[in-house]
Amino acid sequence: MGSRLRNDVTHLFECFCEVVPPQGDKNSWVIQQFPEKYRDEEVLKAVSQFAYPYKIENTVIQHYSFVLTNNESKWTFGFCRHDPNSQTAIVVLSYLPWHHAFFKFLDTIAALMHSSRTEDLRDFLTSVYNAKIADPGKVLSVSFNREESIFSVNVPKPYLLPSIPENSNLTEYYNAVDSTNMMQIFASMLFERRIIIMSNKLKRLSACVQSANDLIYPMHWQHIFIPVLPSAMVEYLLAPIPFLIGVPEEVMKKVNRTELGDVVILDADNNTIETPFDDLSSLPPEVVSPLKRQLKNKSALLGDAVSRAFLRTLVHLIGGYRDALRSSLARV
Amino acid sequence: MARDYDHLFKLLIIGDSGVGKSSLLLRFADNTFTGNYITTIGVDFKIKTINIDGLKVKLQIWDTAGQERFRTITSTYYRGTHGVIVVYDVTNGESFANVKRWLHEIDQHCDVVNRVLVGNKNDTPERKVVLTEDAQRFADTMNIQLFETSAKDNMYVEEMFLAITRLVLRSKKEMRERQNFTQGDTVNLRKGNKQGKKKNCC
Repeated sequence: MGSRLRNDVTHLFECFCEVVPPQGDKNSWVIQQFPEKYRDEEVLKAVSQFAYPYKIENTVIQHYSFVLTNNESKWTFGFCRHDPNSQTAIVVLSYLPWHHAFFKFLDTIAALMHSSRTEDLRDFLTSVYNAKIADPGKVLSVSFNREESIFSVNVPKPYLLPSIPENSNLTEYYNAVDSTNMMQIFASMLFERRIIIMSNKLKRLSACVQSANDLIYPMHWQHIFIPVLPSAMVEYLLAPIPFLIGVPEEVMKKVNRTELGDVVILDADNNTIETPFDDLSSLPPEVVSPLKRQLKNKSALLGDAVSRAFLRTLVHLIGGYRDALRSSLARV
Repeated sequence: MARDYDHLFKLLIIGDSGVGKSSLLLRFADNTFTGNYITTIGVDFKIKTINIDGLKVKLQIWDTAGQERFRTITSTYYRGTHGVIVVYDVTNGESFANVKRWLHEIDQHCDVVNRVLVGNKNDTPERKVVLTEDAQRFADTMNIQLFETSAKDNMYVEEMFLAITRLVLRSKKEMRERQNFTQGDTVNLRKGNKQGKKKNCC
């Protein structure tokens, strides 16, 4: 089954939105957007919900990402920035999962929003929107601020595994959750469980969910995938089908645990896991032991060693699947 | 808070996009607002409370986006549900072929799951390509009830949802009876091969 990413991407981003927080009975809403022609009302409404998944009190600048899933089950990434010095949140929607680049993009946008010349932001967004996406391994550069500054994006090479510390999602996941719990989540994903990851930090939440998904590469999670669940959608945790959902602690308080049924819950703030299953011990020990050993060697885990250890496990587990296939048909 | 129902059943609606799953749900569901998230988070559900044989049954019916990408629907997908509504479009042969493959798959895995087969859009005879006889013959071999519905004209939609609810109620009752029976004083020597673990035989 295929990737949930699109291959027909023409723009670096689809839409930029500035979102006003909910006030009293009024829901959060998009106060300005670029380009104006972006008119998917369902998506814009969702953006305002995902930008304020609950009543957020900000003390530091915070970046996180959320994911929207369309009718063909393809993903759109929303990158969000909250700033205690700003009344609003800013969001960029893109088909590309390039967290590092888009968080940098948001920081540049935030700086330009304070610029004295209002046209600066529009000019910058127009240039980036129209810039051709560079080939993998190359750099996309756009000058702005009347040619005084340059915004650049390193276009990731394909098949490059997430590295510590370059990949902030994996770094956050690895720091918050110990290797045994990472293996538990990995195993439960292979068993296609209903999985909740919770945290009171949106950044940690989205980072853990995104990384958990990265670590089953070359497989792709085919089920419900919601790295940050807004409180308005809390009932979706009752879904009887497999899911991987990041639930902010505030939202989790609204959940009646007894109604959830069989679900795996990772508390990423306390590094604890609750599960009714024995998924990790159900995997072949000869596959799990080397993984345990590799993840234990803390000094050697910089770079892509964590990603590589999980990939090796999957190769060990499913790499020989063709040997198990028998076909009665001559073709194939 | 007191429960306002006797049973809560979770059902799954399966079928290619375009066969009218959401229209069926809209036609059947209560007007209570649950949002419309299928195009933004890829999953949606509708709720309906019905009275059946003097019982109040609350149905939660779940739908997910882009099911075509599943070449097989494995038991992981429906193990948490009480029943599955499998939908094709009578004007689209491919959607019927997919449904057949899925049901064969379920059967091969010997999974015991309550299910009904639904041929939707049965309202334009000149466009119908999946003949009733063919669908019925298939349904009979799979031992599954067939409903030809039209969400547009509201034909047989209610009947179909009632039928799956009755199936779930019946299997729940059977399971309870089995449990009562095995928990009694008598030791049932046959329970291992006949009645135990029927649900999880895979």
